[in-house]
Amino acid sequence: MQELLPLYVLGALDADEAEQVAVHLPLCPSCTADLVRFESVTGALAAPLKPVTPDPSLRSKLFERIAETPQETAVPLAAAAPVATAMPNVVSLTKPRKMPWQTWLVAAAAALLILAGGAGYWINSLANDRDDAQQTVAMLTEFMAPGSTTITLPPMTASNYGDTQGSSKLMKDPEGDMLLMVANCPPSTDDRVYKVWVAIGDDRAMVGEMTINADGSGWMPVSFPGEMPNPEVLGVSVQTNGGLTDLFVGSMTG
Amino acid sequence: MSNSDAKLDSAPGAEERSTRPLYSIEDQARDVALMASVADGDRDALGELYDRHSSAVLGLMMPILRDRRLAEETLQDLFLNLWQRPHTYDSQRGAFAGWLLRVARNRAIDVLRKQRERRFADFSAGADGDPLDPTAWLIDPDPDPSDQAVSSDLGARVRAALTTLSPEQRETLELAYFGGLSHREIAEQLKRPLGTVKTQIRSGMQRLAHVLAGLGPERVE
Repeated sequence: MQELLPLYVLGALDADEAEQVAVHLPLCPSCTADLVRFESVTGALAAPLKPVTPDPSLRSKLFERIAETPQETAVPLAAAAPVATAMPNVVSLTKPRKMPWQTWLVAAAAALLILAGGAGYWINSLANDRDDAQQTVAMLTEFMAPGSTTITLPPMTASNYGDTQGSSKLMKDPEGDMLLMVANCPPSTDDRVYKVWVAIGDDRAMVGEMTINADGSGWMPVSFPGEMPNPEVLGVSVQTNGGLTDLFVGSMTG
Repeated sequence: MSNSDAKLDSAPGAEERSTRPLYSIEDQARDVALMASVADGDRDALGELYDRHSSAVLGLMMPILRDRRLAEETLQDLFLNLWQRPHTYDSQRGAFAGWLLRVARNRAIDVLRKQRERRFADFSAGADGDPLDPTAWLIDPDPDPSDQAVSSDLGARVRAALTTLSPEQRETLELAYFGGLSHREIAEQLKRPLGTVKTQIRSGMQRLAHVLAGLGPERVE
């Protein structure tokens, strides 16, 4: 996988290869470190180029647009706050810089339960594994910290399953780590595959496939693909025998 | 300097510069402070960032898009996005200038790919008819680049690092970096085996990362 990273940062991989890398990166601290190293090269490669001064009118036009453009608003995770308050001895722990994938899963599940109003059940379920509980709460503390944001991905018509309505949220912590969660959707099967993607206009790029568990929930860390680092939208679709159907689509541009 | 002159030993000063950072600490600190102010809604801070970096960004976008109007539109969109979403910059992932140029390059490539399916014949001349200068990275563009946001020292260091690449490595990197071509498209255009092109891009980037990290020239094949 590491051999693909130099091509990945240049956007020179085929879409399927880029998708493999994007899915792998959140799981591999070593590759993430290499990615940062190659990203610095792509930035530095512009240094020898001759600077070109923009037309002076461009600056005033830019600020005319800025005057009409609101900034992205940070939305505090109010629903999760009582958990942190209830366990001050645990949340004061220092979060490890890199956490194992298993902890991500626990944290994601916990976050999902919190969003669903099941925080009490979650805390009890972790009582037999205090290390995991401590790491999980520390992780959640990060997602609940000032500067964290939650974006609700608006549901499309297809996410209404009669008596249940699917929902999806994207959590972003102050360090930029993102966690996508889905609830109340039919579990994944060989014939029902959930796909996460980003898009600019009509151009889409795959982020990865998400597994929806038997309880209807699913989660995955999200990294925007190298060929589309600043997408306009993030979406979740389901691939069935009937084709690809969009379930949730949310703006990433505020 | 022609490609044939490029030798590993010709990278001037690569060893002496050793572990110096790519961007000065002062510039990095100022950029981070300005971005923090932008996140607080300070338009003047965005204006200063624009004044510090817009020339370098446009200088990068021009050889990619080769259409001034399009490049200036893309530049404007980039800074508007910076205003809308200042938290997309993570100071732990590197210097602001490098991050901004990387994002600028990716955005310009997105625009380029949207504009047209670019065949190699098209790639030899831009939308405005300017031919692609394959030595753009190697020529000192301005003996007194006082308006460069990134230091001329960094430009010299990168040029020196580029001279450590083989002509084949440099050619494939230029097609990927400026042309936004995939390794498959590059292999088709250059009529080289796909595996060879992948190796040339990979080894070229590894070598640049190694040299720019201050570790000196190293053969990476």
